[in-house]
Amino acid sequence: MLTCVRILGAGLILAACVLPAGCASASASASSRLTARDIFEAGDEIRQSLGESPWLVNRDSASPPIRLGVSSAVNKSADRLAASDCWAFTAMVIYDESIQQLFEQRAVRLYLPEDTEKTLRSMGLAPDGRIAPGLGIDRTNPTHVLRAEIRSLARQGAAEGKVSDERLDVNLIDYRITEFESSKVVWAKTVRVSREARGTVAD
Amino acid sequence: MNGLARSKSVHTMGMMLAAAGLMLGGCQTAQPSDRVDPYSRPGNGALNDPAVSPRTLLEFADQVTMNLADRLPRVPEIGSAPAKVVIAVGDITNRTRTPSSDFLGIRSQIFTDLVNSNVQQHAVILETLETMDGQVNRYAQHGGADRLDEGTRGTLESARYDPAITYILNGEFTEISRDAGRDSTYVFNWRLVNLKSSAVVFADRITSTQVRTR
Repeated sequence: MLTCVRILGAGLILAACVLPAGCASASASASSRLTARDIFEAGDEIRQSLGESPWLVNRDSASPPIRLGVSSAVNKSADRLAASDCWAFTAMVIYDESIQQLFEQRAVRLYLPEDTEKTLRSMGLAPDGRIAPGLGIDRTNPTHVLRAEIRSLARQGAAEGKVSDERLDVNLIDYRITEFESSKVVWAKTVRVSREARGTVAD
Repeated sequence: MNGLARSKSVHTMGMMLAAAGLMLGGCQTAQPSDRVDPYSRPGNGALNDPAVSPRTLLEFADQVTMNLADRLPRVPEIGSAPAKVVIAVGDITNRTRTPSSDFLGIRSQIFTDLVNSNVQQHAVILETLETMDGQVNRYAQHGGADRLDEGTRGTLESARYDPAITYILNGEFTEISRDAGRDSTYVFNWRLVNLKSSAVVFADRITSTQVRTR
């Protein structure tokens, strides 16, 4: 399944790269914006970090249950991101099969209000049957929340001439799981995605 | 294809299409550039931006965490405290030509680095009050949701801690500029302050220079 996801992803990413290139043949500029591949790679890093986190590793199925609420990523970057893209940052983590297995083994249940689940379904991010049977969804108040924020450090300027011809975007994608009762952050991970583009910035 | 497999396939396609939408929406006229190491030296064009280089900001964030992790156990009020103290990352005052929003990003970096450092052995790292108050109110179900924000549910607060054991990490970022802004020295002063007594238990300074070609 994972291979299938990667192949499909690679295909669509390739198509997405080819299409704009085709309709912008007059410009040799490159973009420093976040790409779809960046979102997927961020997901891979997050899943690995979460899987190795002492907070989860030190738990087992007999540990006091955790109900994990999920928020959409908050975009505080200089880039425009659709609501579905922001949800994809966190949905990609909770709907991953390996993470769901891990949650099930560590007594972590997902807390998804009905309207959130509806939103995710309408975006194609949470179809029926995607939640592992043993994991389920718990509608009672969550004990923890998974959040994400996207920020960017953007720089641009001219190396020699008067026209800005270089742009650097360092995107910082912060993920955190925080306990409600104490406000204590139990897990945090930042994914840094940096792209430097050359060419007339106005393009 | 059974129902579960079909739903997985739909989900996969949904994810892909959302991502492809981002790609197409964002890349109207340009292909994506190559990824670079955020710690690498930027090209001269990006370096000529009046704001401090992102590399310098990231290095400052790393340095703060490293110094704090090294010194915290030796701060008597913290190292010999009977229980873990509480540390929250406060504000970074910006006195440079760098956008203030960048410092929120760097504050967040320091926060993540602290959570993943051995500072956790001596302190509980707290989320900001504003963030958690917002989350508590979002998820609170007492009396039903207050979707129109009419105040019918009242405002709930997240956890509060004893100020005597709570420390805030504050910073000040200043710039000394010469040669018509081409030559900048950045100074990052930061301190750990007790919330109750306002006593500074640890202070440090980190400097860096940046030379622009124009």
